[in-house]
Amino acid sequence: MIDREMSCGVLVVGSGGAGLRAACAAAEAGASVLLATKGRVNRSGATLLAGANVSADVMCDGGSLWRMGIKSADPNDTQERWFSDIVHEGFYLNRRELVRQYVEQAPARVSELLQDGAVQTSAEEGGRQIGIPGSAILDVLWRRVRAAGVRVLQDVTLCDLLPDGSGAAAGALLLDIPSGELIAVKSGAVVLATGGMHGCYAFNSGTSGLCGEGQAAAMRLGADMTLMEMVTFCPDVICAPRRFRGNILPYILQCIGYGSLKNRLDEDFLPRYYSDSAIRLALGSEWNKLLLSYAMFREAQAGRCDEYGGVRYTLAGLTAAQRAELEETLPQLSRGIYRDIMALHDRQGWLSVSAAGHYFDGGIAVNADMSSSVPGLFAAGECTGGLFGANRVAAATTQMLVQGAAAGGSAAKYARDAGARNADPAALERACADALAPLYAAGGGSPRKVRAKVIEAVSQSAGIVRSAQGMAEGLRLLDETEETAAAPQRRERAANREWLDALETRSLRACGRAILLSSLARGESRGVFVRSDCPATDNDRFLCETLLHGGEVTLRPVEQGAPAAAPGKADYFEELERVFARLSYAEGDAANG
Amino acid sequence: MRGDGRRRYEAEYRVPRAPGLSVMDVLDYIYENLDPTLAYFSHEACRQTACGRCLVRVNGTVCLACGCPAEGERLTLEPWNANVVRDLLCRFPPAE
Repeated sequence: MIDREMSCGVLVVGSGGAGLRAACAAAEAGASVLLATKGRVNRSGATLLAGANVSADVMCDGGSLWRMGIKSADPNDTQERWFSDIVHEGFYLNRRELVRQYVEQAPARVSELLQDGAVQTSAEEGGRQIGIPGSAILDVLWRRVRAAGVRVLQDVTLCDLLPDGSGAAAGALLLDIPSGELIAVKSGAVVLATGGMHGCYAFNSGTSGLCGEGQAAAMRLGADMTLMEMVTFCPDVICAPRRFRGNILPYILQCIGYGSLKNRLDEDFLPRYYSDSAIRLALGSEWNKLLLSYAMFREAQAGRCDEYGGVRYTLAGLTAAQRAELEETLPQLSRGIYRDIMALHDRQGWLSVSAAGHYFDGGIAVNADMSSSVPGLFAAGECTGGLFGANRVAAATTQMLVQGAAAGGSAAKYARDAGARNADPAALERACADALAPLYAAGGGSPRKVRAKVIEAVSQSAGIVRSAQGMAEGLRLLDETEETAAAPQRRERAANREWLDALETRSLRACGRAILLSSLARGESRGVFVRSDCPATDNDRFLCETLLHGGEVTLRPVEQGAPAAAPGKADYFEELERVFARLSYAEGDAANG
Repeated sequence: MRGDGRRRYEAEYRVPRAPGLSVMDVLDYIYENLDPTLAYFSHEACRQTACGRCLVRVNGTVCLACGCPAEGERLTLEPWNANVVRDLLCRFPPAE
């Protein structure tokens, strides 16, 4: 059933920032590396769209940035302060060894990025960050990957991870999408860097290929997953017209201080939900993701959104001088698709925006050497979980650089020690049979329709605000899709999108189930996770991660220490307020429900 | 223009017009509603003119399907290079 066989020391799956950084780290450590990617090697994954590919935040403690010559950085900031903020922001669910690694390794990763030629944008950044377009980060990393002699396979998707006889990861089964060939890769270690599960949500800000293949394959191999219920939504994402749907440009403009939000009735709706200080935080920091998404959800429920389900983002309040300043800061706005978006805004006076599935805080459970619970399997970047706990405010770009470098190094060492091993023949046969199964299915409807049902079930039941009843129904609907007969109309392998739809549906369904099962186990609201039926944050019972293994969720206490969570159970908004008050960069007083 | 590298044929589809549609949206409409066997670049598309992979020849001019507004009564869509895998999906040169 195999069309091609390949072998390598380290197989890296995914070529966003984490995959590229892992590939060069492994190759520079002496491993023979094969990098497999679903799209174009230096133009795929969420990294490409980070900061709308206009200006992505790359973060590091201010003191280190200042010493790199970044004059807008806060010279008095320290790694200790940043660590403390990240743990507060994560509502104390962070795996602290990952946070330590993140703050300690960030200076080295950011300074090499600048030394290797990544050019900063002139967006006004805070004391802990610089701005670089996503594609510029990828270009710098790709040059380094090429120089390290990494072999690359483009346009392939991960069907399954392959275990050796002892259950350790020993390679993967890949599908070359244009030709339809199945490729069995034998490797000493595997690094998953497959990004988020954006495809689970009908409205998301990712590229089309982010379907959780890595997470789903890791689960099938028996890897532990953590905090799968934590999903960050991005609030100011364009919902219409369809041509611009999913673009986060308004969010980026708002992050650098431009634009305001009104509902369909032309009302400032934020005061309905938050105090003045929380609104300042919502508009002036990356806390906007959590705060604005929730407010938008409530506006939609109350029927105060437009026909596209959005509220209105507008630059109409800007003076001519401010508008000129914005265009000077971001010259990309006068070119290409951004010129078209700005023209649409100017014509109608606003853009319809809503909250989209954006970043997955949960994922494959890893240690600081980026090893998963399965020997030989490593992971880096957004497909992992635990670094940011219940809410990511710090930069995911820095995460991918730090974790990518660590994963590549660890995988190279593991592969050297373990040597190349053969995949268990029975497992390989099963993986091939599963991959080919849709082509031989008896018939029925289109795989595309089943996929749409899966997405609808997850979007409805695992959105910004969840309930036990809704989630049970979501799980039931997901089970129902598994029993729905569907098969591609065309049965040839080459360039068969319906076949790929069927394979992606398998991953999306597995990820959707994992999100829902983990959400049900967390009987509280915390950070980005809000349940209408459990509206309190409960530090007595839920300073725990949801550890998912073999379809079962257990609650495991998360290492605590300084900074420590306040004990007891508090209203979700009171807890938000308490956390705001403890951040080094913001003062909070009151948020009202 | 459909078919693989050896055998080519023309196919015509009627797609409802709507403001703000791109050529990519038109292709998605055909795939989702009219013909699920249509092949074009979609498996890892940014849809924001950033990845540069959804090249297609629209009324004779090569452009990115996601960035090209679908305008006019009639669109003629053809592969952007001669190395056709199937329909509008072409092989890219290997990564370099």
